[in-house]
Amino acid sequence: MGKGAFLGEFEQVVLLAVLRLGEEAYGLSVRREIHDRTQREVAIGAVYATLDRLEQKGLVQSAAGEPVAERGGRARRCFQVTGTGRDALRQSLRTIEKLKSGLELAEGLEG
Amino acid sequence: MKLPLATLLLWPLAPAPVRRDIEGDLEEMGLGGWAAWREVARSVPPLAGAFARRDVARCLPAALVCGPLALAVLDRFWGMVYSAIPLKEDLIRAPLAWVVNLCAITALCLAAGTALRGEGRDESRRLAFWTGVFAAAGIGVLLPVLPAAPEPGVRVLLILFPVAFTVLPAGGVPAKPADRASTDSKESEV
Repeated sequence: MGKGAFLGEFEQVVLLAVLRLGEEAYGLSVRREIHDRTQREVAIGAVYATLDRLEQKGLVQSAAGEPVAERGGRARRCFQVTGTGRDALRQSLRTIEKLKSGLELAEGLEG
Repeated sequence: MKLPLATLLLWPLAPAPVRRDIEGDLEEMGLGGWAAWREVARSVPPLAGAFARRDVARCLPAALVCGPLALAVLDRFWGMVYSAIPLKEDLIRAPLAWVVNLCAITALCLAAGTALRGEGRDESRRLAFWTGVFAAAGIGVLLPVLPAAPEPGVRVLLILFPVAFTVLPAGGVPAKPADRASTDSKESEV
């Protein structure tokens, strides 16, 4: 696996959020999903910088929708995880599982 | 809602589609005033990181060639010319030498700006701006260490010209069809 195929922690989080949202995945909804599920407050620029990077790696693809009045006539750019993205995410989560298995984490660190 | 001035901070760092997305999100969230400033300010570091990863490598080589490298080569050239004149070596360069330097750097910057025109108007301007800034920074660093440093006025010109003349040819580029379509749809919505 090439170096670019390894995912950073926030890349994993964003990919999982995009997967959860399905066709409704765009910057703001991804940010809300991350906040709702992890209580993590992230800047909107961080979400777009990550989505942009994932798109360059071919792990997500985007398509512009119709212009929306509540966005001042701007279209939402919706994201979808590609097959390569799913593989990379699966591989990344498997690596974490392998490293985690058999390890007794201190109390309070267990999810 | 009128978008806050804060979104101007995004222009040098993010390409047009990302900026439009962020502006749309700010509008959808109904953020204005300090809340929008705060959100944009928090977005600057990750966007700067993305800029450093993606765009710096695209601007830096041209900036080095048009700025410090060109100046160093020209200085060497004038050094050789002056060394051929008895007792003139290391003397302050004649104004003509600096006019030639300025013209050569301007021509190189114009060429660099023109080479970026394929990127579409917005992206071309943004990359040209950074190419000019990096070239100017390189010249600014090099000038004080040159054996025959110019007058302060010439220094200012040598630093300002790269930015101006790199962005100039990028300004007149027609927008890419995708950019235009998005602008048109926005206008029709309003």
